[in-house]
Amino acid sequence: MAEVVKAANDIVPVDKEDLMETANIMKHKGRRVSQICASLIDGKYEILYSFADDENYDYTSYKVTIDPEVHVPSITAIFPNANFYENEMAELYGVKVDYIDGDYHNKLYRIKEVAPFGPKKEEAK
Amino acid sequence: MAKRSVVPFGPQHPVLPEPIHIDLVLEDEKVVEAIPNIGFIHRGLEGLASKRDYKEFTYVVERTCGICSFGHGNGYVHCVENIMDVEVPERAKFLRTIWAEIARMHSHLLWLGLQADQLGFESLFYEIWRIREKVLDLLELTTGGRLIFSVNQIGGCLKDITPDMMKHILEEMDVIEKDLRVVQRTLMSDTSVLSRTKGVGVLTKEQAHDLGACGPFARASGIARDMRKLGYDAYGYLDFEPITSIFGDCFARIDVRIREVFQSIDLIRQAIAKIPGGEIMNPVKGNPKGESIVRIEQPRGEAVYYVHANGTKFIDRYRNRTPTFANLSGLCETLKGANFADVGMMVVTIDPCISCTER
Repeated sequence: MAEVVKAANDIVPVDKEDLMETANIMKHKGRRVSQICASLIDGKYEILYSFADDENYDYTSYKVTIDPEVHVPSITAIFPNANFYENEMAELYGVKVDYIDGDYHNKLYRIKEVAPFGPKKEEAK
Repeated sequence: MAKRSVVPFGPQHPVLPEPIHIDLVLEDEKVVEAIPNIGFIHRGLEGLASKRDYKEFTYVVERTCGICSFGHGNGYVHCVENIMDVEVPERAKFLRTIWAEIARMHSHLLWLGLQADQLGFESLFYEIWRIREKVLDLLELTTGGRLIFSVNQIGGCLKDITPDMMKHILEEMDVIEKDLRVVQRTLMSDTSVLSRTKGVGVLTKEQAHDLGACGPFARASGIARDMRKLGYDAYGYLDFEPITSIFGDCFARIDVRIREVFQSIDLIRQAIAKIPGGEIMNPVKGNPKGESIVRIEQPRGEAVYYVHANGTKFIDRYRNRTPTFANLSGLCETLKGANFADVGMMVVTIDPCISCTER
């Protein structure tokens, strides 16, 4: 039988203010950004930043919960490849991400509708 | 002084089976920057999750793409099974593994044919797709579908593979292996192929890690990472190691994918030898509540699936981060400094799947 990797796979809540520090710690631990995604749950954004450890396959997803009008900082200064994920959640969900290195300004996806999965106007109030 | 110009690559281009657009910033014939644009076939399938019953949504997920359909269905059902704490029967785990590996062979052979065609090697393209037809026939025999199988469901599988079918699969594996050895020898020793791919589009191991590359694209750069090592489905019962190369160029990507087809043949043989009897479905009652994130190894690499469910039959959020989306950063990096004439071939060597990326 093959050796099966026993890997952690956790979802950990984190404050928006601690996001950059968390990303820095992940960088220093040699992890990579595996994915970033936004969800609109009960009128709030839940943004999941997933970091993978390729040595032991551990996987940690940090969840930031914010109101729709709140901005989040970009982590592209720490992880350059985060720019596609951040552009995606900005364009499809309307998440306000500050200072993306490689900001497409709503031009990554060639779609007409602005933030098709974002809050509708009455939800955003 | 070099003349700077911008050349649009795609969305319609002879080497692209699906639409993606890349603005290539050139200095004479050298690419200095590549800026991709996607969204030409964006269908909003993730958004459809909140409008379909969570079991019916399995079929929607499978229709994300015609090449990776089995993997998408598998990733989604794994998420929901984790949330609902469903134990999948052992036989169903082996069935999923067999279908996943046949689908991987189909995907890699499709890509290999396109790669041969892109290199101008048309006779080899026909030969590879002739072999691919045998793989599609096996899928049709066991599932009833050649591209969309609809055999995965939450709790197990909807169809079984009979002993006669398994015997036929093993016979076909012998034939495919023999035919593919000839293809491998021909392709990997051809002077034109070597001159066009050796040392072209190099992505170093450090770049591959920093840019989040995955799958054969990363393994060709020396990263021994394969999500099947997590042991999901029946992979925990099978012996295999990630296939890697140290060169990181276009040739290494072709080499890794061809060797992965042989690895899939070996895994199918192992799975058929070890498959237990018993049930294939554990009926599921109720609705899911909670969240789960799952990674599986698709033919193109690590695919991430996330489901957030609220206890009703409609889930809140389904997320699918596809391997091609993760590989875009690496592709743009390798294109920098490339000759304009090599761009088409370099794009093909990451095996882009735009339907997956667009979702």
